[in-house]
Amino acid sequence: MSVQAQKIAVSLTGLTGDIGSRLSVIKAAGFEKIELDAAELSKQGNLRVVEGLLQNSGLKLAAYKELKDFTGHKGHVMRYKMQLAQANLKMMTALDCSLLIVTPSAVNKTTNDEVVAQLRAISTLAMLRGVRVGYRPLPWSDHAYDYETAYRLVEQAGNANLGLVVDSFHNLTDLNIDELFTQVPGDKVFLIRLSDFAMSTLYTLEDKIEVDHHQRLFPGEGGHSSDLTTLLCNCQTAGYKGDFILSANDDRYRFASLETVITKAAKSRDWVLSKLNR
Amino acid sequence: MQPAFLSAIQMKGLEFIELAAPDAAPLAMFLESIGFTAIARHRHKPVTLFRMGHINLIVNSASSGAVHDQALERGVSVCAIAIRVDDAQEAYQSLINAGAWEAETNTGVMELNIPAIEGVGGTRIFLIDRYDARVSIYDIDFTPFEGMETLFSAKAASDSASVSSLSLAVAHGRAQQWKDFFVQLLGFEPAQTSLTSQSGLAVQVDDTELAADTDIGDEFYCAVTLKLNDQAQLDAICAQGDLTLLETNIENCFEVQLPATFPSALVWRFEVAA
Repeated sequence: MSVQAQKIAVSLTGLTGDIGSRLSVIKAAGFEKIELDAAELSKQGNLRVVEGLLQNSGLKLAAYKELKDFTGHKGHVMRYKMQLAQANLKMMTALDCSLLIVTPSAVNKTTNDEVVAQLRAISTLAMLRGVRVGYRPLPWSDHAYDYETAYRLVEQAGNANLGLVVDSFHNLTDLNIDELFTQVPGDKVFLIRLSDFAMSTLYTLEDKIEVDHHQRLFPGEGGHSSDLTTLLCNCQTAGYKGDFILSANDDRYRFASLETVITKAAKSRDWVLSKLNR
Repeated sequence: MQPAFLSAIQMKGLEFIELAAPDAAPLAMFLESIGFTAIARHRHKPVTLFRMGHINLIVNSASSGAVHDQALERGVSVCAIAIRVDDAQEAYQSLINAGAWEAETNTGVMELNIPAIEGVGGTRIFLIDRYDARVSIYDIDFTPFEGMETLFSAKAASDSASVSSLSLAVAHGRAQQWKDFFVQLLGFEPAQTSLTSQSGLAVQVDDTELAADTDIGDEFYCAVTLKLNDQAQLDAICAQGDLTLLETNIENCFEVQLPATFPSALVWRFEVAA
């Protein structure tokens, strides 16, 4: 079955300029959906303004990024995190977004069982607002650092509203991406984020964080084309039904014009589609 | 044995079901025709307590507020259920920690402040720990109708009518999500076609009626099944009421044909113990 272009969304944060012009450029380039970074909302300051701009643009939200540093906290910090989650979910409801990305803390101060309970709690909280939860492992976390560790926690939580966010960034750190879907069933992956990279391996923590935050290239623009092709092929075999986010944030895009970057995004979308539909 | 923060609360039974009603009078006639008796009225609100055996049914025909809005939108419909627990405060806290949302309860002055969480489609789930006590929750907020004083404070015989199951209609694709809610928070266990609680209550979740893009606020309780212990009880109800029972595809289970006197999508069923 062929994958439609509307399944390919672009991360709003990869583009520069005011939010209104970015949205209209994205829409004009034929995208239907974006990934919204929570930082965009705080930058904008007024939820109603973003809501209005989104409505005018006709773009939908594929995912909301993200509830950071969520699992692994104790007692009152966890209660605060849950309140924060409630505030985020209320915003997501207003923006009609139904997928929340959640990440682990770096250092787990609780037990494995408590982390499982925390994942269940956020899944339930979000379910009651019609939002699904995608858990995104981070290489610098000590309890959900790759797909094996993150999926084990998701499995233990056993909640239909909880799945994984797969990020091709992990291909640089711990994972052989071609093995991913041998470990995780396709319907437990709620989102795939795609980036390409200029380098082949990362060793230090500082490098990993730097690359995650500032050196993501559009798929097809870096050196990982063949691994990305494998991922796109395997996810289809595994029955993955979710969206794909083109996640690019390299500094070189920041200094390029909006037109240049959106052209790259559109080209990248076509590249991804050609791999999915070959 | 699971650690405390992973285990669900222990539900001890169903205390009451609350119905939102746009107009109380036609609903009262219907309820009386299926065997309920109006026992008491609320001290300050247009709210009536009906009873049949162990079943407490609260009819709320408030003229403003969320219950009123629901009544206008959905007709006669379940707006709350109340479940029995050992310690309401403790159960409430553990449900909130497990991801439940606190529900507003707009308690009036001198009324019981019963903790509640959000249930399906914006309805509420109250938590009640005062159910075997000398002073019941109804004693505080309700006064019995004349002649109903004895029934108001009497305990039902053990073999009298009870609610055996509740059915939820949820958006397409959300059945397992709601099952997880009842299992992971309220301690239900998956059985063949439904979920069952140790307290005897069953819950069915159906995601085939509503479309996938249904607003989750439109998910609702679509059916209530009342259990009678023998056919004679059902015959007695049929003898006195103007009632049409329809066969269902389950043996000993009958669906009550709703009168056209009020709008409602809530199905009532009688189940007779085999």
